[in-house]
Amino acid sequence: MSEKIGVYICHCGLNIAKTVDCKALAEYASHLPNVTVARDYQFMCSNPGQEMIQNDIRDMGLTRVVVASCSPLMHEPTFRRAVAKAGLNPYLFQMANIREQCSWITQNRVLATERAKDIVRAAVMRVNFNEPLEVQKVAVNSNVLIVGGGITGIEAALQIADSGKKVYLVEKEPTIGGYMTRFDKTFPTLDCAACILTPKMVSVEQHENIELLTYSDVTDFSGYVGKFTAKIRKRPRYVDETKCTGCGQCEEKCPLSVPSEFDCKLGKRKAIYRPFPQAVPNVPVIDREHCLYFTKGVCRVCEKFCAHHAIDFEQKEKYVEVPVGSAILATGFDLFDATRIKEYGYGRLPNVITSIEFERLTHASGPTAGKIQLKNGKPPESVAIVHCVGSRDKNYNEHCSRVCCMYSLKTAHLVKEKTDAKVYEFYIDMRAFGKGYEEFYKRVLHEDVTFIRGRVAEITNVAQNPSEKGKLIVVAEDTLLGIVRRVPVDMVVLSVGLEPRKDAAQLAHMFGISRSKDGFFLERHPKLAPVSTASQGIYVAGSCQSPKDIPDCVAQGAAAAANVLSFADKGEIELEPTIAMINDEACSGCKICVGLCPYVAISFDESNNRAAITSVLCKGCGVCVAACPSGAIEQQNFTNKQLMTEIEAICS
Amino acid sequence: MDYTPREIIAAFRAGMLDKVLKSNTIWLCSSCYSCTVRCPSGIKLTDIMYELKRLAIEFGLTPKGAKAPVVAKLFVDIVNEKGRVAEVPLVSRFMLKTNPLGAFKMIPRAAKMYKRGRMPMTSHKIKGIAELEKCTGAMTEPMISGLHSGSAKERS
Amino acid sequence: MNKAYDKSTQVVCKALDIDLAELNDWNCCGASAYMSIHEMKAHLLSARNLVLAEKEKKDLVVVCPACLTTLTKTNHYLAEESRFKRTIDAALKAADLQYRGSVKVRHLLEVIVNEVGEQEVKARIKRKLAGLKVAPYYGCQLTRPFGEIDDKEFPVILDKLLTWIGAEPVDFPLKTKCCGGLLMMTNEDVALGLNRNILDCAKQNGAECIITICPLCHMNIETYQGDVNKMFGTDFKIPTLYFTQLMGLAFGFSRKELGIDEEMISSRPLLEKHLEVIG
Repeated sequence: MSEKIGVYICHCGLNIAKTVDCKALAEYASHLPNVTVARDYQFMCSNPGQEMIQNDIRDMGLTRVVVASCSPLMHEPTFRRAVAKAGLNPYLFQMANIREQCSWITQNRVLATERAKDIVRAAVMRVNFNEPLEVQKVAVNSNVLIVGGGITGIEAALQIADSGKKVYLVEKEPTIGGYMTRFDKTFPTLDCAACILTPKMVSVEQHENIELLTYSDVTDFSGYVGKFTAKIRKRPRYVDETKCTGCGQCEEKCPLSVPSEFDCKLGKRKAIYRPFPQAVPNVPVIDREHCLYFTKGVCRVCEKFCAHHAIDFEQKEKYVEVPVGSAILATGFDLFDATRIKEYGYGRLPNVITSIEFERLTHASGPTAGKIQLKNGKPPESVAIVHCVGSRDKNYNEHCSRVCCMYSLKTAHLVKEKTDAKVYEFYIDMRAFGKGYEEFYKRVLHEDVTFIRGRVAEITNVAQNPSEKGKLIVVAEDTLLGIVRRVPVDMVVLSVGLEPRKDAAQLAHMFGISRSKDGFFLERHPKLAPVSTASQGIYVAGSCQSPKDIPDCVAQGAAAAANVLSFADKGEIELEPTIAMINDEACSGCKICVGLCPYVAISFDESNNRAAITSVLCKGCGVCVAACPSGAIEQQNFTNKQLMTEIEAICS
Repeated sequence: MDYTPREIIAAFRAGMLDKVLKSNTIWLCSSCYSCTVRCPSGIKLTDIMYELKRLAIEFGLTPKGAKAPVVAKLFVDIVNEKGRVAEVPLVSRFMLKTNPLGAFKMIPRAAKMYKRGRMPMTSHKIKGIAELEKCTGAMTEPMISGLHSGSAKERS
Repeated sequence: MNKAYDKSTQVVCKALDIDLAELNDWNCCGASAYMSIHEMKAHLLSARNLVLAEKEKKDLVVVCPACLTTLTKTNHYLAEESRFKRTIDAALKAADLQYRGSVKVRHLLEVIVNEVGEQEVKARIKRKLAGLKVAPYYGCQLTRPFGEIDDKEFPVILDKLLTWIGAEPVDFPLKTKCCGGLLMMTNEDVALGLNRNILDCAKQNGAECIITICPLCHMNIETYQGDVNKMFGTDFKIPTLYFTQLMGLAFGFSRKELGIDEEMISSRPLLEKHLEVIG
């Protein structure tokens, strides 16, 4: 019994029809072997288009369907669903890409139509050998793992926990809150960052559905979508969280002060410390590398003074394994290291500081109690703010870091508010795209800040005339004037860009997701699916996906939560059946496939000397299929027969 | 500089290159490459400056009284002739062309340097000058203006 | 102008057992001047030198950064741009020449620091340069545009070598700022201004002497110091030496052998103050 194939050529408006002669293509297809009907239509993916296919299946008893249109990534699921609705197994459908791989790569109508004919012929010949396949359904665990306790992770955690699902929130620092805990005011409203963040942090701590694991990292992530297992390492604080009341006595009594990372090493903290007073959890941690007990075996003063006996020098790291159905990565960003731009003098010239160091200076609980001052303690008489440090630059990072224009404006405003200094802002463009942003820019324009449009060439302390002596001279072309200006100032604030975290590659590998060219985590689709990834069940949100401001971080945190909830509420998900299968009789036990599988889906059974694939883990990548020297592994819907038929059809 | 590099590029984009070719900017470029290593767009600006120099000479659009094109042309003549350059022939020809009176002013300095043996008087002619000529004769420069595309002989 | 550089280079290389042979029948590299008139022919000049060096099967070592840059540029383009290579190859063929791309172009400074090394240099020191404060002036084309030898803005390779031979390199932020090169001939005012900044920076940072690695820098900084003083009312009198000359002095050679007698601003009083014979 030969198959009855229906072939449908899509015009895709003009996307295909402009270059490929669709009518001629349909005519050509109608004469191919086993083709019962061949039609062409403007938009096959539309309702009428889909109905056309469904009617033909019913009326003509079609057993196979080929649609020649866009990329399978675009509409294969659409047509599979359409075909299934008409009662035909969705895997008896084959897609032929005559858009991305044909009409979009040439202007030549003749060549394009010929190529389209080849592509369609290949699909038609191949589809004869498609087999009906059934999807596998697996139960979904409704627990969620969120990696990263900054504002994004906090937002996602609260949304998910509020719906009744359990959240494991893992944060590597001793406190949650992320970068936002170090900011003074936020643009454009000039809200105090701590005031809007700390209530959320407390809600997280108090929420019955959120299990907060701070000073912890994820060391392993295994399993498959709906049934993951996360192994989390809880690093020892040397303080018992259950006993500590956060009274702060230990911190007060500790005799050793070291530079504080929270204050960008501009201030000091003790060896037993909370990063900042409103830390959540409000439990200190002992810095093993500096603590006098750990390094020299003496002191233990904190233990003596702790009224609740919460200090525990014997505390060990603990590992917990938690079952989750999905995970959200909200691990945030790192700041660009300004020492890399040697001509800006960061690290060489005093009083050249970065934006985050400025935040700590201006912060009321920072190392200078909110006073903006130079290294010698005096207030600056003039301040320069430099845009685009390490961003939009082929030599460092090509991307724009999105937030720096706005935070530079904020910096200018704060300097004006707190000092009498003259403020110069050196910019290339002013990217004030958000709600209230342009208005904020106008406000700062009226605050007597001098804006100079020109990228700073260098910052030097070599004076060329008496007025420059003892100053930092910012050299830039004033492009609106067309001259090079040398502006002497006391302090320079470098608006450094945002980069992916140093451990982004490692984390991506652990969770099985990709990264884009700029190193940030790769979303499934930049417009239509910004928080999902190509790996089902794993989501990304916030600035680990790309640089963004707080409003967008919160939006993405909530979006990821929505994605996760719709996923978790389904209770079960369907797994693609286009996976690899091992023919036991042909397997020679060589074990080559076992080490190659990137999803660790292949195990080896020593008892019968055969490799075995765990079908729920298999993603159908095809590596083992290609590698098996005995040809014992075939991939469903990509069998040798199907692929060879396609190739032969193209070559004929 | 009359026009900054950014303005020169903008003029080029606006089709007004002739306006900026007469500026002193391109002839002030000493090829220190600071621009090239710092440009965030990876533009090889120094090479562009060289190209503009060649264009300016080809179109005869050098600023009035500009000395740099004169030196460059003399330099090329001497290298084509001898294969190597010596300072005395270069400087003396240059002074005679641009500032004969100034040449007199330089004599004390020149004498001082000659006394200390720092004045090579003639250029050494290399043995392979014919070989070099054969190569340069066979070389076709890339067409910029469409005016010339031929060999050294054609261009001079 | 650069006989002193040549003399001191020969002397120092001999002392360090560097086998230095003058490239047979080399032609001018064209520097920036030739490139301003002809592009491909300028590259041809470098290409011929590379052919000659390849025949000798040796590394091509230069002491002038302009030669370094033009030769390296041509070398890189030949390796990376196929259309460029085809054009150059065709022109070379006209004189039966061929370049296979095997030559390494290097500056003597880098050869001494990276290949000869600290121990060998220190082993030949016969005189102490006790407390001699020097400004290591790299100029613009040693580390730009390629940055292969050292950092493009703040290199330290010369500073390192100077400490090896016992001098004290001072902090010198303008170490890679251009001296103006040929601009001293064509736009004297501009070039004098550039040199004034360099001299001023050296003086402010306590340098008693400026060390150069480029003959054109040497000429501008030294020979025109008087003109700088006339134009700006300054009173610079900073002796300027090639790095090979200072090395030679540390190795015990005489002023005559190193061409130091040819200088315009005498370094005699300075060196008399700081040179001590060892043992």
